[in-house]
Amino acid sequence: MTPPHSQPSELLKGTLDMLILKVVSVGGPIHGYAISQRIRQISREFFQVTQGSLYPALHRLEERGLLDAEWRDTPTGREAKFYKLTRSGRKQLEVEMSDWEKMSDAVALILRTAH
Amino acid sequence: MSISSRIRHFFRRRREGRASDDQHLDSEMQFHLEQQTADYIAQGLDPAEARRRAALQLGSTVAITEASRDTRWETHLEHFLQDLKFATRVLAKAKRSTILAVCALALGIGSSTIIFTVMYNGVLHPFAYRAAERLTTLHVLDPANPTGEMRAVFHLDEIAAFREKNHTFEDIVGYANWFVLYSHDGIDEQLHGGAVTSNTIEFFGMPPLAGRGLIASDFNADAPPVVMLNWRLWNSAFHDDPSVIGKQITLDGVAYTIVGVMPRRFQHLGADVYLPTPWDTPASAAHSDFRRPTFFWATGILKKGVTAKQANDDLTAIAESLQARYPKDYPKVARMGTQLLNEAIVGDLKDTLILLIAAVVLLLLIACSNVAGLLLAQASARSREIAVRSALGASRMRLVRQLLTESLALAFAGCVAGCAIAAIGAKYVVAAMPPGRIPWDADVTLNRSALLFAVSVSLLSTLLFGLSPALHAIRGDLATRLVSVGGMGTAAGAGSGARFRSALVACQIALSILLLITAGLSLRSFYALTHVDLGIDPHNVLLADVQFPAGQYATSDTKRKFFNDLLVRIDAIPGVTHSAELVGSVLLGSPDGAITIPGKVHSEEWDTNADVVSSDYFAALGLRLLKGRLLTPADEDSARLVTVVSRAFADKYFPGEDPIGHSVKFNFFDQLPDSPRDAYFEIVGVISDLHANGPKEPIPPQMYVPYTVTGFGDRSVVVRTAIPPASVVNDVRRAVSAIDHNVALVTPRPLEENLSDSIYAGPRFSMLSFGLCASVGLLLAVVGIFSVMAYTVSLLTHEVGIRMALGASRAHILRMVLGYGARIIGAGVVLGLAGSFVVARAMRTEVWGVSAFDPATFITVALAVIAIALLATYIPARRATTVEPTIALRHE
Repeated sequence: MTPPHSQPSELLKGTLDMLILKVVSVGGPIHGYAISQRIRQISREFFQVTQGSLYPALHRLEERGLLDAEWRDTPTGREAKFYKLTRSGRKQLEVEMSDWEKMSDAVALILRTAH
Repeated sequence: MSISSRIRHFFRRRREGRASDDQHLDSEMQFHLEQQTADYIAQGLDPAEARRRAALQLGSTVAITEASRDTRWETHLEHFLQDLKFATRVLAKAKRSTILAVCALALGIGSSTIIFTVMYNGVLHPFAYRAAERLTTLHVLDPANPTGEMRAVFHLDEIAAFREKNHTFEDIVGYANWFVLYSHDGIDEQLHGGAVTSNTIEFFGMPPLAGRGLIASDFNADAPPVVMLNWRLWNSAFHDDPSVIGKQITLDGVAYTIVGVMPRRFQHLGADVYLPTPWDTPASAAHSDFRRPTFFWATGILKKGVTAKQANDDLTAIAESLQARYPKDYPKVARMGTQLLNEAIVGDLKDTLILLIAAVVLLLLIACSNVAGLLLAQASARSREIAVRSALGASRMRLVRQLLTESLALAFAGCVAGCAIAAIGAKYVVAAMPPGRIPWDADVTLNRSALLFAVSVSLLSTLLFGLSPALHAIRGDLATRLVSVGGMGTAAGAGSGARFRSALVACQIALSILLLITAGLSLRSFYALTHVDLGIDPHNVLLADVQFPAGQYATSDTKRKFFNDLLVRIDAIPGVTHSAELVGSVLLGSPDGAITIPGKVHSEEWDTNADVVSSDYFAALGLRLLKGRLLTPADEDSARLVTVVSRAFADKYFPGEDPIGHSVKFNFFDQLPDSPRDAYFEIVGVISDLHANGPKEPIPPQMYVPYTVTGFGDRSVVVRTAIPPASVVNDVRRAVSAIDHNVALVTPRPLEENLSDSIYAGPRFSMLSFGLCASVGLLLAVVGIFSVMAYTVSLLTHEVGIRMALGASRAHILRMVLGYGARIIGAGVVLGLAGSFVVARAMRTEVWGVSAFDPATFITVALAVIAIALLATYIPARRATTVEPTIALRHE
């Protein structure tokens, strides 16, 4: 069964991976909970990333070699899994971002001009 | 992830194990939960509420763990293995349907693999030679001639010229065959000799099995005579004895040393012995020793990338230079033509094989829909299991995968069993095929390509029979199935699943009708062909050719003396009732030509078969005298110009008249050596007809003249026996040798066997193969309808119980169930008959002596299928009427 998707706005398929990569690329080694919080904050509460899609996505990215993970202590002394970008992850992020920009430009263009 | 880190990853996981992997996942979730809780507390919630909210937000950790785990590739393999284990358990539990399914698949996969093997290894790729796919035969074309081909044989120096001057062939060989007499143990045996050129061994690229191949020095004019053996001769005459190498055998009176034996798949020319023929063998054919061939065939290996047109142009340019040397052997404007050897093989077997491929595809479809029906019934019965698994978190994809794995396991079992069937069956199919259609060079076994085919067909059929039941099983709201505790009696069983199953059964019936009609038409053709009254009884008749040494017994007088003596000796053999001489063969070719009858005026040419026979011929074959008299020994002795004609002859050329006393001239005699010139034969008798040109052709007019009137022609003997004719062969052979040791009796053959091989074998093969496909198809369809009806009845138990409790009679219930089955059967029959008209159209070339739309066949097949299918419905329907209402209702 597919896990229920987040409300209010469901992420476009494929964009979650990009957002995760982006957040990880900015925030350095960062754990899953922090990633979900960052996405929520940055998007001004627009994207709710549920754990049901976040953790499979993290593991998929790790499996594909785009993220690297290691267990280390948090400032509170609790052990957590920290993710950081690999070199191919950075490349992938660049590709996805440029694709995304192209696409959103195109969509915006259509929305502006096609009356 | 780089390969190395992937590997590192894998081993780390292996080391840490899945449990620790999941543990990590758990602690990651746990960490998430704690952080969230802490945040909520920081926002001012009380700890208990914070924990509750955080937990709510996180959702099912099990589902997340499952989903995260799914991202790993090992998981897929693991799932597959798990599914496979589960599948075997499920299949082992449902023994009856598993066995049925595996049998159905084995038959479907097995039969298609057999036909593939025969087609691929026997017809499309029969040769194991070097560059077999580029082997090309050469011939001269006459563009002015409507049929095109002029000759496919050449003088050896022509082939040598083509070989030296061409630019499009890697190499060209010349070869010819003729009969050689092999003298051993006091008898002369006829062997097929193959004259081969010096490049033959390298050309075919096949090393000898034992000894050596023919080498350049063997082809020198003064080289000692050597011979290379074909594997078949080595196997049959020398019992695979490797010590024959270096020994001598006598061929045509000359001692040859055996230098080598070729492997089984070297069957060039089909010759028994290969004899070196130098390229510079004189073209005049003035061989003093024995009858060596004067004309040769030519086969080349096309260079890679050369097209047929390029080769033809190249050869045509060379042919133009040869035209001056052999002006008579070329048309005014000559073209050279080529044909790929592989393409030449397919020939007239093609139509039958294409139909047969269609038949096994139908059979495979029946098998697949059969198995699909079984799986569908099973899936419906398992709908609750599937609902439970879904409720426990299995995704639809996961369920489909698991059901497909079961199908795959079935297909694998079917594939193994099917290959076993094919391995044995292919041998029988090849044996049943008309002789001479599959080259001896072919190796029709279950080799790599055949196995690959079987595996592909199995995978394909997995999708064919597995996918729709799997998709069907996960359709709709799985959760509601849990609610309906009664389960199968309701929506799941009787709804769209039932419709789909019925459609499958209807298809099986339709497909088996197609097969049955094909089989029925072949059977009718074969019956029609074998029941043509040949005019003679072919049972207990021996035919054999008499081979005289070159240049001897060339006159009618010497032949008369020889046969006078021989026929008396043959008649004296115990078991022989009559013997006679003839030219040609009985029922498989007589001399024929134009005739002249004085006093008759006609515009079109009149012709007849003319048999040159001894006086006992009529008695030997059992032809009946209708009028006048037969030929007598006195006619023979004085070579009288008298003739006996057949009834067809009399009816055609003397309608309403008595032909006796009239005379007739066989014009062809004027052109033959040692034959009567401008001779008119007096008709002395009329005799019963025979199908001299075979049962498929109309009865030709026929005349018989005493064999002593001409010295021309190779002679044969026909012997009527009271015992199996094969048992007198050696006695006849001894009778021949006793008169002259240099005369040989060759190719002895019982007439019945001869007819069977040449006339009946093709239709018999069609009948047997289509019949087998149809029987298997019908069996599968019957099993299909039986199991679907049995299953439907089991679903209806509850309904039947209610109906009976409400007062329905048993007859009523029986009618209800039978009616349900009859509707399916009716739909299948209508569909099948409609499709059969298309099939019958394709069958037209295969059918003989009966219309391809033969109503009797169509009606019989339809009625038989309806009857058998109704019976298969009746048995489960009967069971439905035995339901006890009280028990059926308690079923709830």
